[in-house]
Amino acid sequence: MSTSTASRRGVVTAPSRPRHQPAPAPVRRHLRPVPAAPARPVKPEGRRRLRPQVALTLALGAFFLILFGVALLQTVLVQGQVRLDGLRADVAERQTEVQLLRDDIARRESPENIVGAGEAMGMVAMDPTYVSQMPEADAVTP
Amino acid sequence: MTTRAPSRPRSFGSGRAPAGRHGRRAPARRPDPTHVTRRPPGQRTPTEHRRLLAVLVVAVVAFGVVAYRVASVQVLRPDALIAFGEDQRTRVTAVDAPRGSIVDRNGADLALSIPSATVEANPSVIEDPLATAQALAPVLGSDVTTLAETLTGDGAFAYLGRQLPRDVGEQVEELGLAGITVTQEPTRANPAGDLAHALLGTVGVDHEGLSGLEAQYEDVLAGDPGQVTVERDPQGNTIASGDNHYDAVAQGADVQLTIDREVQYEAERLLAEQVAATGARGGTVIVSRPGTGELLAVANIDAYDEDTGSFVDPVPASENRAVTAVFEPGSVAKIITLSTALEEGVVTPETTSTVADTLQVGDHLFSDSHPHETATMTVRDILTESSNVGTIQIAQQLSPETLDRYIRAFGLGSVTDIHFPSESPGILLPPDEWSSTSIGTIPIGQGVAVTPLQILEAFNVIANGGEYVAPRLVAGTIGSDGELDPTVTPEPRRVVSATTAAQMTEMMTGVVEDGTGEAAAVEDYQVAGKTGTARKPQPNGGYEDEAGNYHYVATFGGFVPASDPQLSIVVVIDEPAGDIYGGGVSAPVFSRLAAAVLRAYRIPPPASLLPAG
Repeated sequence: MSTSTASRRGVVTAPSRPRHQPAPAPVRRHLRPVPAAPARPVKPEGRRRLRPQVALTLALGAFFLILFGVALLQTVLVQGQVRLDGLRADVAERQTEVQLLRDDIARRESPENIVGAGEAMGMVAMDPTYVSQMPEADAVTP
Repeated sequence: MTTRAPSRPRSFGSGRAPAGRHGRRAPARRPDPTHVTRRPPGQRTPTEHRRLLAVLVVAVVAFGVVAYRVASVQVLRPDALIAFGEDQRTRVTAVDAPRGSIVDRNGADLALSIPSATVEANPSVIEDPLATAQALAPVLGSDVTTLAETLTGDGAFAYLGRQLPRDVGEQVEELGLAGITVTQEPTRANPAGDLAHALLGTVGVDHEGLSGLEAQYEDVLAGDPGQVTVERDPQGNTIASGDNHYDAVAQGADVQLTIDREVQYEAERLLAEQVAATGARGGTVIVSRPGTGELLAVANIDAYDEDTGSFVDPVPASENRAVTAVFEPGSVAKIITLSTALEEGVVTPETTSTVADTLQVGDHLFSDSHPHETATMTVRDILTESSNVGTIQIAQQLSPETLDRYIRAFGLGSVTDIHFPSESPGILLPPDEWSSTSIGTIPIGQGVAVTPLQILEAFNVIANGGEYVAPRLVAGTIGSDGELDPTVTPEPRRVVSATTAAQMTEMMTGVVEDGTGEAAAVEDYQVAGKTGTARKPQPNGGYEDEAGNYHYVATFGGFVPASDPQLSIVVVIDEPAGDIYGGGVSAPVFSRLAAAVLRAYRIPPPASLLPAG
């Protein structure tokens, strides 16, 4: 069972005029000579426009290169920061050592410590001695 | 074969059967399973229309919610959220400025800050406080029960030990106990032990100066704290491109004293020996370079415990009595009286007068320390023998105003230029408040109260040819550039003429050579000095205690070499038990100390005193 489109259209609508009318004949113009166009410059091979696909590929490549560069830069920065943190900790530790050594030196060379160490070795306090102004020659003269 | 009128395609969304051209309804059709309805593009069923509408509504609502949230985050309260984010990743660490050191004149450290360990606990995360306490107690040297009580509870913080040795902190860290952390904080160390303890003062647990030079120079020593602001990732690593900045600390400057560590040690040692030997309560010794006013040693020794009321082994005192305690100087003040008389032309060193051993002044009978026949004495004799009567007779030729003016010019009655914390100006009545006996007491060093440093100032005036040179305890401050910024001191001012000073020096050498201060002599050197012995006022207002006994302060002051003074020393012994006189108790300390310092500073005796060779 099939119903043609023409028959369905005939039932539903009643066209009042023909669907197609002949177009009026075009007015022909007189032909005339065209001035010669200047010769187009020949584009060099290297300056040919890139095809969109190639341009897109290059752009994507450049984009990822930049991303990679940024990542590389970030890595270098992080490495530098880690090294900087390490150096700071090292400096703090060294400063701590300096203070402790300074304290140790001051303790060791304090008079109380020296006297104590001397007495521990059996040393005794000497009688006062004075700076002599006598020339050595006089000092040995009988 | 019947032909059914073809139906118009149903309009999308009407839901009704299409009507015929003339309004007649098309007959109902039974569904034909084999019939495939073709809809023109753009036409949807009502169900699809509803679904699309629902999706649209949901999408609009969802986007609305998102838009509201975005607006809320970005527009309505961005600051709070920005701060929240920064707070999550930003760590601000306060950095305490390292406290400057106190060093002696040669750069030896007397007080410096060293790192120490502080053990902290977070009781809220400690599951077994008793076990933790048992592990910590032997390391911290604490009681297990006390420690367990500290670790029990819901609190989030408790100190278990502050400013402990670093190895203790390392041992605690090795235990790896949950809720126990070890931090580092500075503590103050005195490498020379209690040396110059009263002078240096103390530093509190929060590292601020509490007394002595630590308090006086707090602003210089403390420096300015800084802070480190760092953005960190969840692992705690610094974000390299974060907002990291360091507000540098300004390290505290070092304070360089004029004190010499070796001289200070010797002064304390000799003083402690003498205090112990004489059964005294304590004593003070000051050593200075008179020409510059530099103090080489300020020693304070205690041998009496005020709390228990008993004597103990002499130890460095906690109070710098050289400038904070006052006493009646006694006869050492006679150098001021006689200098005034010489300067005013009232007497000369050879002026004679008849001196009895007693003298009535006002309602008080003054006497010499030892009975003697009435004798004719020169001014030199009066000083050498330390005659109270002779000195009062000379002072009576001066007006109170004149004597008061000179006493103050010598440095008594006002604080010194070192401005030590709690420094006493002494007690010196103005002339209009003098009583009828003041002209008897004040010239011989009674009725006035001075600090040991003020007495030293008076001796330095004579040693400096009549000029007052302000004492100096701090040479200057040393900043981060390592350069010494010297302390500004006032210009010397003249008190008496050089002639008067020379006359006084010559008379004072007699005190040591054949007077009351023979024990102060130093072999091969000529010493100029003066002894002093004064009764101590008692709390009851008199000089006798409840048992009717007197208590004395024995003093000796002097300088050496007399012809070219390089050292000046004052020795004050508080309440010696046996010999009470300055010449017997204090002068020997002067002698031994002067000998040691002369040797240390390689100060030769005058060539005229050397044996001919």
